[in-house]
Amino acid sequence: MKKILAVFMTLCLLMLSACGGNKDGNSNNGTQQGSNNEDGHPEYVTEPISIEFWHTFGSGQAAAYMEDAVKRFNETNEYGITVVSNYIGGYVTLRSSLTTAIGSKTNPQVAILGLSDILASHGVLCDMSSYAERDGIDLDAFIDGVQTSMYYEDALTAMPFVRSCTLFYYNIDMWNAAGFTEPPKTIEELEQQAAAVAAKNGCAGFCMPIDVSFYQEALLNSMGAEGIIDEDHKGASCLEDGTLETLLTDWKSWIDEGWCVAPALTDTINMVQQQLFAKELASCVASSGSMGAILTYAEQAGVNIGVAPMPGYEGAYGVGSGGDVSIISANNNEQQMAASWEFVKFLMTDEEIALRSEMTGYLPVTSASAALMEDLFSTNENYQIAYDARLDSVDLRGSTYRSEWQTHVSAAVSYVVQDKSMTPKEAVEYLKEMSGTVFY
Amino acid sequence: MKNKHKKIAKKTISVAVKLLIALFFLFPFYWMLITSVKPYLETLQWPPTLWPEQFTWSGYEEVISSMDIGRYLSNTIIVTFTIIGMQFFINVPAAYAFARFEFKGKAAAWGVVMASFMIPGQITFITTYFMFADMGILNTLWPQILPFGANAFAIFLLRQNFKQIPTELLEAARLDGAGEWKIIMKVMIPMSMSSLIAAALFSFIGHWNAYFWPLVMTQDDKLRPITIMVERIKDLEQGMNYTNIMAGTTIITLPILILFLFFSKRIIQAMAYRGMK
Repeated sequence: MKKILAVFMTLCLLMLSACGGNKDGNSNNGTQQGSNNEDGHPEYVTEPISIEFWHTFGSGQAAAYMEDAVKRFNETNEYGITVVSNYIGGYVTLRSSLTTAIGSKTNPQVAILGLSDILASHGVLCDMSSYAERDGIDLDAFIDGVQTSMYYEDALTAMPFVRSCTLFYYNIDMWNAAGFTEPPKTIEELEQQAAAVAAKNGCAGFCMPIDVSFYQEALLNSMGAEGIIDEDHKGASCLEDGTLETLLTDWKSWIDEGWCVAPALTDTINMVQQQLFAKELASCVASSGSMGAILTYAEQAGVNIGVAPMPGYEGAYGVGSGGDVSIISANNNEQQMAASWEFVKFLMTDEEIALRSEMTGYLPVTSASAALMEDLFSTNENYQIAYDARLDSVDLRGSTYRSEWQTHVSAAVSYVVQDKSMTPKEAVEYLKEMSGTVFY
Repeated sequence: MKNKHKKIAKKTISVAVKLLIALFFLFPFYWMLITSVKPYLETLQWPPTLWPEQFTWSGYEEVISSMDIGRYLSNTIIVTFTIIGMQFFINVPAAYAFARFEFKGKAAAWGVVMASFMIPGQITFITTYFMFADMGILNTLWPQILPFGANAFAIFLLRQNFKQIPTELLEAARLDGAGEWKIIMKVMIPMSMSSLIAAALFSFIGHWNAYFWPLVMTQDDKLRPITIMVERIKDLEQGMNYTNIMAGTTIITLPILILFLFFSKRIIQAMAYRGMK
């Protein structure tokens, strides 16, 4: 299904590039900004208006929050703006649907996007800078780690709607039984401790799922590398500077030594959880978004799970990810964009961020919103640890090449640690070959 | 005596093989049912339990209480049955014309029908989507219905069946003053009931289970079918709750299983060659 959606999206983007243009006939060769009035600021909403909002919150508390938030905004905004919200699907589905909708001029005004760069690069997202400036929004209030994903070529195209980060989960009792009172902070400590824990408890010591834009990205960053894609989006220097080969060599040796278990081919998150709860696995890395579920079910299974920042080569290092809220400029007029901004502004108030984080388990993106969540922080030590880890994490850098490139990197990693049909050196050589087809 | 033993042994082996094959195909349904009534932790247990240690209806409760299942179900029912109705009025006359009439361009028209049979929806959906957007009917159920009003496979199946009906019967009907529509209704359909039911059943299964088309053709959750509802149940970040997912899957699958139990004989009949000439 992902492949079909990827082909679908590519086709749509091609069509969009060819026929792009908004209702006013302007071409979309850059992000659009709301047109300014006489005092140099974009216009306000002048009459009641209805806007459409597409999101990814389909079930549980997240869906409940979304419904409540839209209702609260509709009831309280001073302009008579009515937001009609629609759950569309996950990030990939939403992005694909949005692309087709833009092409057919049936798109919404506001949407939650995963990595928004590909759409921003086609000039279909609104640059919200002038609205933020007009309303005195302090963009520096957002924590450092999320700043990278808010801008596309200096245009404010995305606001950090929900965020999670990489975390280390470990069985406290097993760790203590092996004589360790603290979880590992570095890869060196992880190697020593997880091997000892595995030997002492007769189980696997550690498991890391293959998610090259999350866990492996974090480890590459912790070596001082730029991740799987360079900052200028023009290549992958991790192939040349030896960092990827080091990571693959280490990971393979951990598996060969027996204390690290290779990730399952499919459904890794569930397999990891299953092994943690069955005490067949002592530790793993997973998203902070999974923390609620892991801790709840671990308690039910009688397993004492601790949470810590993800160990890295030069100390703990995390990568953050999550959805952004963006305004779609394509096919929308100034009034629709002005109304959209009011809604985005409402969603990004500290009160809403705090409420959203409390209800969904995601992490707050401003320190002021975190301060509003004192009760949760004081009663839930793990949430505090996750938030501190988030403060030290940096959001994944968006790139129009990421989707295609990460498919190749994931395959190469899989050949080394799962299939064992390639050596780390061969995998890097294979990726060097593939990079020529991706980066140009 | 020896022959009798041989016969019994042969029959026993035959039954055992059939049972094994039946088990192979039934096991996924059994697994779906028992997983839907296991507590979440038991679904993760290794080795897995073949019979739930603890029964729970929490999966069904969660699915029914958290989703507007009635709306999703009614969308699926409306779309599926409207398609089947439309197909009846388009496929049957088309198959009859291809089976019984000679007309200019028949070979070319048949070629078009066969070609449409071979083109996957993934190739046509973008243009179809744009067409419906231009028509202004994207926010209705029609984009899920109209493209499937005719079905090439059903036309092919019915044509083959209509061709097997003796010409003498049709001539006798015409002598009795029956028009073409009456011949279709009174002669062709009753004699091709198995094929008709099979075609309807295949269509039913296909559209009841449809996921890709409704996913890309709908922008409004209120218009989506029950298959998309099940997709909503899974939450990859929290880990997939198999109890809930299997409860949702059971709710989707049950109508198809019931229909298949009732009509399985008809499907087999439709596929078998009919010797009457």
